[in-house]
Amino acid sequence: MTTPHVPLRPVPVNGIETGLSNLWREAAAGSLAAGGTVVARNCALTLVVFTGVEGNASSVVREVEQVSGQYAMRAIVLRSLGHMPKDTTVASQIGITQRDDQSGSTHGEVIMITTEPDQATLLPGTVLPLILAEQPSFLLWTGEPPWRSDLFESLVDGCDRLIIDTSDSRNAEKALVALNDLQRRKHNACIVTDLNWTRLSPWTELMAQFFDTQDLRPYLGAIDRLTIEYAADTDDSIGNSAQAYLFAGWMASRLNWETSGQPPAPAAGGGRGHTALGNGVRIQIELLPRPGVPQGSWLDVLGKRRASDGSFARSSPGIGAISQVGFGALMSVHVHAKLNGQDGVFAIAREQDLWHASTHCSAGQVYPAHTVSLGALGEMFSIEQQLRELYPDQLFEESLSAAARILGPHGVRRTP
Amino acid sequence: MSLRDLTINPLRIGMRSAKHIEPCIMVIFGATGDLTSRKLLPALYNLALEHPLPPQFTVVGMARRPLSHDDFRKMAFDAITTNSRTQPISPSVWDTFSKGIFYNQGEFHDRAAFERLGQLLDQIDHDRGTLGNRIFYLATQPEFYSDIAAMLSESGAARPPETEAEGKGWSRIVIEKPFGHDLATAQQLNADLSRAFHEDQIYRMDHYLGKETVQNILVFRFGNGIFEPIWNRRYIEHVQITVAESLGLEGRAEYYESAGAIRDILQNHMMQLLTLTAMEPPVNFGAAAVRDEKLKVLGALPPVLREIANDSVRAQYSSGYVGGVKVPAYREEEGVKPDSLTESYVAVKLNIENWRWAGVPFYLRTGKRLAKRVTEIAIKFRRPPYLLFQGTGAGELATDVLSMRIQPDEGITLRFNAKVPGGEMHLRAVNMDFFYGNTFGGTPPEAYERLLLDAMAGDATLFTRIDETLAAWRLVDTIVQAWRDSRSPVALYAPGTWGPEAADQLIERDGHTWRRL
Repeated sequence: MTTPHVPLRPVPVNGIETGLSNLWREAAAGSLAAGGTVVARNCALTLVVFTGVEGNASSVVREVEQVSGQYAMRAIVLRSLGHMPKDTTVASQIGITQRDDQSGSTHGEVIMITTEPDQATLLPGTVLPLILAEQPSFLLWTGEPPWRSDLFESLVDGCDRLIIDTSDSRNAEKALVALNDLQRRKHNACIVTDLNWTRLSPWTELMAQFFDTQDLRPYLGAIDRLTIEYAADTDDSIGNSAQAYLFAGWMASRLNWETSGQPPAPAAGGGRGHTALGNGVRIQIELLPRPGVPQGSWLDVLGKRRASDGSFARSSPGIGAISQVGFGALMSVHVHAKLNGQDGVFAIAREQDLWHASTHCSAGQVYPAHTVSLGALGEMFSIEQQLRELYPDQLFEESLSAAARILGPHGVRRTP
Repeated sequence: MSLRDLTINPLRIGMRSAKHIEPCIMVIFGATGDLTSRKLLPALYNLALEHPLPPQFTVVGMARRPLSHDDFRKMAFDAITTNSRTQPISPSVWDTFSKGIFYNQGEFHDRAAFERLGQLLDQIDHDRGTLGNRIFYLATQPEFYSDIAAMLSESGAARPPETEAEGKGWSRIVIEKPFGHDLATAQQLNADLSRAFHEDQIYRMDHYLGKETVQNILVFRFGNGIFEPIWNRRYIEHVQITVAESLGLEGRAEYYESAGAIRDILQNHMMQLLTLTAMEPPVNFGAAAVRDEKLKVLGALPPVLREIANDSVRAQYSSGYVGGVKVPAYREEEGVKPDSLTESYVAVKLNIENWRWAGVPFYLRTGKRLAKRVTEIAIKFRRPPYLLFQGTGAGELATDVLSMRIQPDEGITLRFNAKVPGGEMHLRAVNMDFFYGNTFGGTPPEAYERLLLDAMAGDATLFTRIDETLAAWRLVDTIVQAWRDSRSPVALYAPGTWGPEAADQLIERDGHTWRRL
């Protein structure tokens, strides 16, 4: 469990570093005097978190505290609020977090910086000097990034790695195209990634696993239909299709599918349909929203998951149901192929408890199925996983490019 | 990637989850035993939960006890519920995992039982698509190893390596330590195994190599540019390797009486720590390259210790108090002979006779009922060539020490001298610490999970090769023979201390002292 070792306390912006040094000394002395655990300042990375929406801040901070302890980091949380004390443009607070587990206690530091929305341009000059020298730095942007804005570009340029979450986007298709554009422009300066991609890892792993059996690999060249269902609200016919497009992009990039870039055609169930050509076979790609699945932000889902069993998700990944999934979560993937007149079906479907997924494979015979915990396989550890990565993820880059090609210039919806 | 080339799975290309496991069956001999319930089944369940294992993955237990498949599944569930590091157990994951659990009853020398096993494995291959891939895990008493290997071969349940090339699946065998009791028995066991398995099919398990901190020795040495240039006789004065346990025999008297500290710990775990510390950089991180370099270290240990009586100490703990509780002497432990000469402590000085380490002694010590449980490798550096601060009241300089702690408090500490603030020149040794727990947090996977996954993936890097094993036995035999020949006495040490006085004398003769840990 992560707990505030020293709760957040206000400090002048120009006194953050000094304030933190004092705080650590105070915490170390206090802990020693009380016979507690050793408090060691040992930050291995900087995580800058931008949260522009007030309502989202508490869950972001909660998540940051979880991973802050996990990684002994300096977390800088940037909030843009609609109300600030009079005569204040930028306010800051500092604190120390403590995470306890079997291997001992880990401590991290948190800096909270708050501005009014129209003062957000002050942030880069405030934040960039606080990034730890010669340590990896990550920028986690929650919500829809202001693509190509000075604020966004300055912070991206100041960090080694940008983490965004396309599940937060109101227009996921536009976000994927913009992210792909950013990735191409910043390729040598900042590594770009998407939490939605990390959440896909159990799905890509399970799909790949079908074809670890060599006898089934020829079916990969005979795929004629890929159907992906994702969670959607009842009042939104499309919902957030980012995960679905990333999965389709991953398949397309691995199997060298040629995509037409033509406007998507309506698919049954109100989804989108695309065509591709793979190994000489015409492939129908369908992305179908499944309405009525309870959804929330992934951070909230994770928070509730943790709250429901009182511990960090990794240590208790295996039981029970969750009440909702994150926006646009994959619900099922169904691949159909026809090889020498024989149907091959390779399917993964989320279980009713929303926490597990089961596989189905039939190709001449029915193969053993299994049920796995999506949470334990990575669906719930997205930020933690991203903080391990310091190098470009070529697989993500190629999958994102392929997803953008599937979407094409015509596939981008107008922002409502 | 062309889809014409289907020897590799195109969907795997670019994935970072490096180890992919082909469908396979793991047959556990000794399926009703302690190791299976405490370590193996929980590790397999956690792998199914977190990696995941392929849906075809199947576990077949074999033991003497008559059990049905369902009885064994129930036993496995209880074992996992009690011992898994992830709790509570996921009913959905267990449901599909348990469908791949089977049991075959039989004695380990019963040909008919192995034929039934072979039929069961063939049936599972057919029903679950395991493609003839089999891992045989020997979680039994060592005396059954040869019988089991022979029966596996004779019954056809295990297949020679050629069948893999023919696309009929692979067979591997995993063996727990001890691999033999001495050089002769290890050679005999290897000969027995070799009749059934090729060396590439044999995975000798030393769970120490599955520990993150042991693997980190290689990363620390070869993943950083600053240490390797000083990792030699020019800068290093000596090396101390300590594997200390605070516990006594804990019900293992029968095994321990025949093994002693030298066979239980020094022959395997400590030799691994020694070789990882002293080896040259391998050309790559592949199994053959790493094991070749480890073997060279063992080959550089002189075949006969020059003064074995002086360079080794054996001892037993006497009765006394640990933590305020009275504990019996070694010879008073249940199951130990009153006149036992088995050592519960051993210390030895080794010289590695090669260019890098000539003249740098390696002191190894291990024992039970010592002051605390700690495993570490300490590199003691030479003093500066000129004592600049002599005559300034600075006092004697402490030597710089780099210590790599394997357990507990896993981490690395560098001790060096610093000036005490003030007008006078006072020096004090200070520590610069790196603790895994403080920096990374989290709970690393169990060593068994890592090693089982490696065995399934066919990666033998963290398993010991026969030539390494035999070289380690050669050393141990030399020491044991010298003890016998010299009739050197078994020293005594009080429980809760750091060992016998003779061990202190062993290192003090060279002008050094053991570290107080």
